[in-house]
Amino acid sequence: MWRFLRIVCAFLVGFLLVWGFINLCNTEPAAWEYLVERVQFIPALLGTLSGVAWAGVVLGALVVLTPIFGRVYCSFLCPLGIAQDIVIRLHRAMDHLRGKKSTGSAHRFTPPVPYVRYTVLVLVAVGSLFTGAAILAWVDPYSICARFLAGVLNPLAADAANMLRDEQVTAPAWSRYGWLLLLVGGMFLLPLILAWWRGRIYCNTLCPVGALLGLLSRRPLIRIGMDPNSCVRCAACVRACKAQCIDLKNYRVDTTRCVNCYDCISACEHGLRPHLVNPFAAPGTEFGGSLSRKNHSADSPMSTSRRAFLGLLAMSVPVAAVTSRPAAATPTPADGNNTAPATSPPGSVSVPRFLSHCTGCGLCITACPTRVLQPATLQHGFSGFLKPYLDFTQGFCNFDCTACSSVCPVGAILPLSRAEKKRTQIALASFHSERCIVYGHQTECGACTEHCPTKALSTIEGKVPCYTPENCITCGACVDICPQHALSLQPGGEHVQIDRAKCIACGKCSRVCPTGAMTSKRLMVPVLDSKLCIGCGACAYACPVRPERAMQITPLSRHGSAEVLHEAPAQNPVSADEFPF
Amino acid sequence: MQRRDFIKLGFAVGAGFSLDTLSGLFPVANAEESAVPTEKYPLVAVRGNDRVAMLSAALTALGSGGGMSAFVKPGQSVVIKPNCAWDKGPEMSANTHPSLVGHMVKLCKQAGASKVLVFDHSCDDWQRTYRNSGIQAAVEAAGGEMISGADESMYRDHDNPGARNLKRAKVHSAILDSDVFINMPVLKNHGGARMTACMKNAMGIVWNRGYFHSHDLHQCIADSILLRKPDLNVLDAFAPMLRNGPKGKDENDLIQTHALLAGKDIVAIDAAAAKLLGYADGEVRHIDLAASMGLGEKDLSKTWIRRISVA
Repeated sequence: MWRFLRIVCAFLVGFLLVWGFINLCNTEPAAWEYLVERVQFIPALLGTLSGVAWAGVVLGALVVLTPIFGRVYCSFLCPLGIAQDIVIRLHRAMDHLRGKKSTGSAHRFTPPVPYVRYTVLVLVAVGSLFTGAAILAWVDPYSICARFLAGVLNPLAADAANMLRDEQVTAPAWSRYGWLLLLVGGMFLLPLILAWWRGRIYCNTLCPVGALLGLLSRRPLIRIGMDPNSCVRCAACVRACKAQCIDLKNYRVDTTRCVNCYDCISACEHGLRPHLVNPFAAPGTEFGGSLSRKNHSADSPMSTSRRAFLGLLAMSVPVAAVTSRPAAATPTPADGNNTAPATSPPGSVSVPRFLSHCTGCGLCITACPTRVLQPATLQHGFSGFLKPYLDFTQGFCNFDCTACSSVCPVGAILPLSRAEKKRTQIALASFHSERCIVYGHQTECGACTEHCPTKALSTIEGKVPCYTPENCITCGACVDICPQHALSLQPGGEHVQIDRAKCIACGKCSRVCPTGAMTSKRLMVPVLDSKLCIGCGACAYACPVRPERAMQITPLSRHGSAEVLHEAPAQNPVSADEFPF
Repeated sequence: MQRRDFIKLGFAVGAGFSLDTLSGLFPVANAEESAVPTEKYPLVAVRGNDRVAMLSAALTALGSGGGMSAFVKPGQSVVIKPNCAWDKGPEMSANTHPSLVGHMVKLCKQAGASKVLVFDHSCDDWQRTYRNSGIQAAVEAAGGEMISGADESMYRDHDNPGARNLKRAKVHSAILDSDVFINMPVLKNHGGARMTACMKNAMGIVWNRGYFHSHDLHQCIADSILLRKPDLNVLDAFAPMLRNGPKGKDENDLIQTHALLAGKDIVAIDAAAAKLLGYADGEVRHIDLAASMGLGEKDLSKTWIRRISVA
């Protein structure tokens, strides 16, 4: 029954996780679709630190459940654990098919080597002190699995859907991670290869979450234990154990390594089951003291309270680190420079805050309908490796969309209402008229303004100068009248040069020109009001000028709030009753 | 046959053809008397308070009473190209109203179309746009098929020898392969092209729109009509966006025109549409360019216009 419950739960978690990461139809994310991402340990820890209420509840529940049941997270909820369980099951199925008895090296008791995992835990804790969540991105089992789903499963599902429908339902995003897939895949495959070899060895040596939860499950209230009075030492439980933590010689289960898969219970025909035990009784005396204290203490490395204390101390370090970082890393820039190397998603408040909370799981990247969110290599710097940034050559941030902020399981992107999102200034556009087609080619374009959702960018009718050198007598009248000093006579004096970056299309030059060498065309020219700009990047994405676009986006370190343009209702320019033709 | 009888017959056939269009057929007033047969009208302008009824009335007038059967023969495949470019709701008039597109699909199916495809090369994410514009739901409810325009694999190279700038373009296969092409845009202001109506809507049948912008937008718009001339144009001018187009900012950008234009002459429709938005002659350059290329008549005084009012 215990094992059955575990399998049902793991199946549900696996299904919902895969579902959440596939996202073929770009639907607005419903809460249930992203439920399992929110009950993960590290995301809940980081979410709690970001002040997200539900994350606190989840973290509280996990912290309370572990001392009661043991490391249930590792088998019921952890996606990397579930993936390892699938591999272990496959291995067993293969052994069974080959007629091999499962008595290989994978299925025996191994004495604990706790120093490895506590070293990892301390390293991660200290590392996060210096890097925020940067190091957590590399070790969090959820994020390792999630990135694989985002990088490999998501495009694979798109390929499959296209094949089934026999049309291009959605373009598979293999290029999103590109060569990084080697790394992403390797990080995911390492635990699985280890699992094939030695069961849940990854969880008990390299995983800091496993180490941390192991500290909390030193003496769970409900504990798997064998009754020496009924046990016949058939070792069925030992063979079934994925964590190699059943010490049959001493009738002991190392609960710090047990991942609560309950396979041993299903395997045992002689009374192995979870028992409610007195938490204050000495380990090994659950069954009326039938075990000798001597045997126990020889094998229990966890018996000193000093170690537990040190472990808990290690756990509190990343907590302190992450909480203290954003404040320290986002001072108001003294020189007024609020730019960042790359743009972070709306809701992340500031780039440094974002980088210190995000674990780079890639969920927002798969949820983003326009694919503007891409995993960074070094765009954010070292601490932003694999974390999302807005790549305005790939797309632009959809004005009416809040997908990334509603799916983020760690609170790195805080939830935004649609109205808030529409004002959140994540970057600023700048207009470089010297590259603009309207000025350069003297033809209308409007690609940028048609995409601008806030009308920070609009077009007004301007008089763009057109110069015909053949008619020019180099009298200099246009040069003198230009209010922007955009016109100059060439050093040789043969013709006039126009600095398009300075020109405001006022048309004065063409009015004074006596020969018609300087004429002007009435064209719709772009004008930018930065107060209204939210930095969605639509203008830059749409700008057809290459290689350098006429619209450029400057990422903001601290996000701002844009003003909203309110206009009176438009008035019908012609009669509403009669046709004007 | 007297003209009056002719119109009456048209209404009778139209009514029998589609019962739900009845409301749009009877209260017809102000029908201008004219000497030419109805089907010769290059342009029909309808006023009313219900888009679907206005569409029915326009098609009845254009189709010599036969409605859509004048444009779609049984067994023919139809592609409808609405303006479905922006992730905005129907109340924003940024896309063709879903009720019009849905009704057009239904009429095509009733006329015996083998299949009715609908697509646009959306500017915003296409899946969100199809969904939030309401067009996908309306099309699928009416038995049409909403297909993607978001992938280059759907477009084929197509020569355009008559063009001045756009000599070659990648055109959506549905446009090239369907028997009937119905152009069904919404009337809006446009920051670059000044106005978007029937001609500008054809930009969405092409893959590389960036080429338009960088090679004289107005000329490319006129050229794009030659890629495939629409068999029928229907322009939703019920609540056009007067400013901040073509995406629009809020409902304050809209004016209540309560009009619908339809016809075969794409230049005449756009010339009339420009007047609805208050543009002077010559202000929307692609209209003049298209007229100079012989694609239609921009001078409305030389055009037979059938004006209908549907109460």
